[in-house]
Amino acid sequence: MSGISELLLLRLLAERQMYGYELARAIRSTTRQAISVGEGVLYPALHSLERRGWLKARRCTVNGRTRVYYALTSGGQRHLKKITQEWRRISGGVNAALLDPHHA
Amino acid sequence: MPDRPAPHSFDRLIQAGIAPRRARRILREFAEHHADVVAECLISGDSAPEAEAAADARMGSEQQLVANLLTRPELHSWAHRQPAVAFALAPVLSFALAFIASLLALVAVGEWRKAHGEALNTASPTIQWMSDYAGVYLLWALPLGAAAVLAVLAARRRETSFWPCVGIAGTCFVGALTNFSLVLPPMADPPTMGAGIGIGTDNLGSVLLRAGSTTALVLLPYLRARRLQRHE
Repeated sequence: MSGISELLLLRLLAERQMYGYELARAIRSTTRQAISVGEGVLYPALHSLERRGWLKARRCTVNGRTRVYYALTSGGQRHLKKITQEWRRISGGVNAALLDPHHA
Repeated sequence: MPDRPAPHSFDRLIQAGIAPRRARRILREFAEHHADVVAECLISGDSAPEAEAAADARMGSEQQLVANLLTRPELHSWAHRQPAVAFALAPVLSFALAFIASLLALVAVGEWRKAHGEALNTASPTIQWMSDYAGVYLLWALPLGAAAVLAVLAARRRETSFWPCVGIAGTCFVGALTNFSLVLPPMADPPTMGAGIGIGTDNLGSVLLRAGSTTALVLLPYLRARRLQRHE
């Protein structure tokens, strides 16, 4: 599941920079409520991605509230491309097995 | 959030090796997120207690967040992974570099003043200043300051005391091996400055006295602070 949350976070942040609360909502809405990344998992995942150089964080004050916005780095874009291909390969294989489990 | 604010969460994170700045930031982000969820629930018609309860139920406790963070070794700081390097070797090397940089700065000040027409003799304010303060700074203030900075950083990180103690003693010992002299006219004209790091059998006693006194000045408050932290 950690691989899925990483993929979703990088994919959403490839569109635009977001802060944690926005990301949690965006994951729920873009996956049609199928996936909900709990806040207790979200922040460790974001900081881990930042630590590995795939995200950069920027502190901004919006309407008197301080937010930490996350954005994808160029290394993050490359990593997203790689894990997206990997995910398509795996999900394609699983789908194929679900459709025709006897075909070998 | 019932267990917020929780200083224990911060302590647990830094004791596990997460850098204090990152630990503080994660907890602040989590608290801000909680406030956003409460605001969302209030807008959707919940009362204040209902909104708080809904936010707590949705987000889980800060303790769960801390437990999840502790399972991620990539968030552990470099200093936690290499304590011998960070708290013993790096401070001694940093002190040696600061000593050399300070000497170069003194030489640069002297050369700059000379280039601007100041005669570097006993009447020179630059020479007077160097004579009064440079020795005290280089031989006492610099090693004490370097060891004190190390003690503060190690205490802030709640780091196990062994390597910081080695680093403090090492910095103070190397500091005690340094020497500095400024020879003024009529003994030398123009004035000459000498400095170095070394030990001789003739000055072993004074070196050990200097090392022991500077170490005690930093180590005792550090150990006391660590003891207080353990009892918090």
